[in-house]
Amino acid sequence: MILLRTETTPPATATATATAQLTACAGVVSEFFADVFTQLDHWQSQVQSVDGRLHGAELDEVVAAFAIPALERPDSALIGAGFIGDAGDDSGGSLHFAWWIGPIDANPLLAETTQSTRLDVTERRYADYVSDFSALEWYRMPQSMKQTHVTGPYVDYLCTCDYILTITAPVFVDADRTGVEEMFGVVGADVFVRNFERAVMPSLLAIPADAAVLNESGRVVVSTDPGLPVGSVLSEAAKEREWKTIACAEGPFSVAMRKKDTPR
Amino acid sequence: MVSKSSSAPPSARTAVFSQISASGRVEQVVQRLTDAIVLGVLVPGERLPSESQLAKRFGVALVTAREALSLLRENGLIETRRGREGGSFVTPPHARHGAVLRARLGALSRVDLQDMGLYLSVITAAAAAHAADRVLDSDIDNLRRLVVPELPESDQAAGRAEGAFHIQLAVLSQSARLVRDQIRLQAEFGPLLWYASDITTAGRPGGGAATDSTEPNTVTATCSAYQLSVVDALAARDPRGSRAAVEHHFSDHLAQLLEAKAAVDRGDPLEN
Repeated sequence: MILLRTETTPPATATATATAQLTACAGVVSEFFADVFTQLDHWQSQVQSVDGRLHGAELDEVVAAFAIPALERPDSALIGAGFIGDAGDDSGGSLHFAWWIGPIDANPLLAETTQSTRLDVTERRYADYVSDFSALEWYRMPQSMKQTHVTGPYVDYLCTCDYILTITAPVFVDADRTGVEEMFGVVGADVFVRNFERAVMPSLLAIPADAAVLNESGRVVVSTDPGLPVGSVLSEAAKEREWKTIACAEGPFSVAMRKKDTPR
Repeated sequence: MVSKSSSAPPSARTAVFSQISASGRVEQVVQRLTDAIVLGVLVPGERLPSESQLAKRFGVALVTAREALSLLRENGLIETRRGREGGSFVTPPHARHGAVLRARLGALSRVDLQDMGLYLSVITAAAAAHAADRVLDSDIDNLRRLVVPELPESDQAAGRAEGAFHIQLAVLSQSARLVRDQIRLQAEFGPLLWYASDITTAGRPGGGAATDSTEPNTVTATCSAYQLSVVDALAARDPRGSRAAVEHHFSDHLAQLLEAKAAVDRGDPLEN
C-alpha cells in the first residue's frame, strides 16, 4: 500500500502529503488534550471559593459534583477524576484524595465496577511503600512548575492498575493574603492509553509511513510501527536520524514519522 | 522474622481481600485469611472487615464469609468482640501459628511450590529484562531509592522493600499485566518465601533476625546486594544482566523454601 502510493505519486507531492498528515495528527493529539485542559481549568476554579479555598466535606461534595459526571458522560475519555491535596483540616499533612474512578472491567486485582467509585487509598495496601504521594510526578511537577502537567504513559498501580496518562493542574491559594500564592493541591484526570489510542489512531494511520506519538522523554504512547511498541523509548539519536517529528501545540507530545530512506 | 512482624510487607497484603474463585469457597477464604494471619500479613489486634464487607470483597455469599470466620475462630486465629467497638480481631501469635504454618508448608507439594516459584521468577525476570530497554535515567534514580539498606530498621522493613522493589520493576517494564500479576503473586506466595529464607538462615551465624542491629544480617545484605545488581544492570541498559540477577535470586529463594519444606516433612523443629 505504501509502496503503491510512492510509485504513483510524484515524490515532492508525496512528501508534502505526508507532512500534512503528520501535522493533522498532531492537531488531533492537541485537540484531545486541549479538551482535558479546558475541563481542568473549570475544575480549578470550582475548588477555589471566593475567599480562598474549600475544606473537608464541602470540598468532597464540590469535587464529586464535577468528577462523577465527567467520568460517566457517554464517550468520556476519562477513567479517573478529582482533587488531591491538602484537605484543609487536621489530617496531619497527609494528602487528601477526593478522587473517583470510572467504571472498569474486572482485572486480576480489581473487581468490575459499573459506576464511579471513590478511591480509598488504604485499600491499595501494596502501595504502602509510597510514603509520600506528594513526591510523585503528577503532584510534584505541577507544584514546582506552577502549571498543568501530563504524566505518563505509565502503569498506574494506585487507581486503575492499568496503563494511563495523568493530567494534573495546580490549585493555588493566597492563604495569608500576602500576595504569594501557594499550591494546596491538584485537580486532575486519568486517561486510559487505550482510549487515547482510539481517538488518535485514524489520523496516525493516515500518515503514509510508520508513525508514533511520543511524550517528552521519547516514550511511545501510540505507534503503528510493530518494532516500536507502546511504552518503549525512542532515543534522541535514533529520532534525529530516522524520524521526522512535529510538536503538538497542546500537551508535551510530538508525532513522529519514519523518514522514507530509513527502513525499519 | 515473620512471627515477630508488627507490619507486614505491604505487597503481601494486597490480594488478601480480593475476589475468590468458585470452588471450595469457604476453604479458600479460610486458607487466605489463615495464611495472612500466620505469616503476619494481618497483624495481631487488627480488625478484619465485617462479614458483609468480607463477602463483598471476596465476591462470596454472606453465609460463606460467616462460616469462614467461624472456622478461623475455632482455630484460635481470630476472636470476636461484641459491642460498638466490636468485630473480628486477629489474635496474638501463639504456638498454634507455628503449627498452622508448618501444616501449610507440609501440605503444599514440592511440585506446587516449585511451580509457584518458577512463575514468580519468570514474570519478575521478564519485567527486569523489559525494564532495561525502557527505563529513563530518572526511573533508575527512583528505583535506587527503593533498594533495601544493608542495615534496615528491621527485617520487616527489608521484606517490604523487596516487595516494593519487584512491583517497581514491573512498573518500569510498562506492562500493566506484569504489575497486576506481580502484586497478586506476592500476596499468594511472597510470605512463604520470606518465612523460608528466615528460618533457613536463622540458625547460621549472622543469619535471620540480627540480634545486634549494627551487624548486617545475611538476609538483608543479600537482598541489598541483589537489588543493587539489578539497578546497575538497568543503568547499563543490560536486559540479560537484569534478567540473570533476578533469576539467580529467585533460584536461591526457592532452594531455601524447599529446604524448609524438607525440614517440615522430616519433622525437624523449626525456629518460628
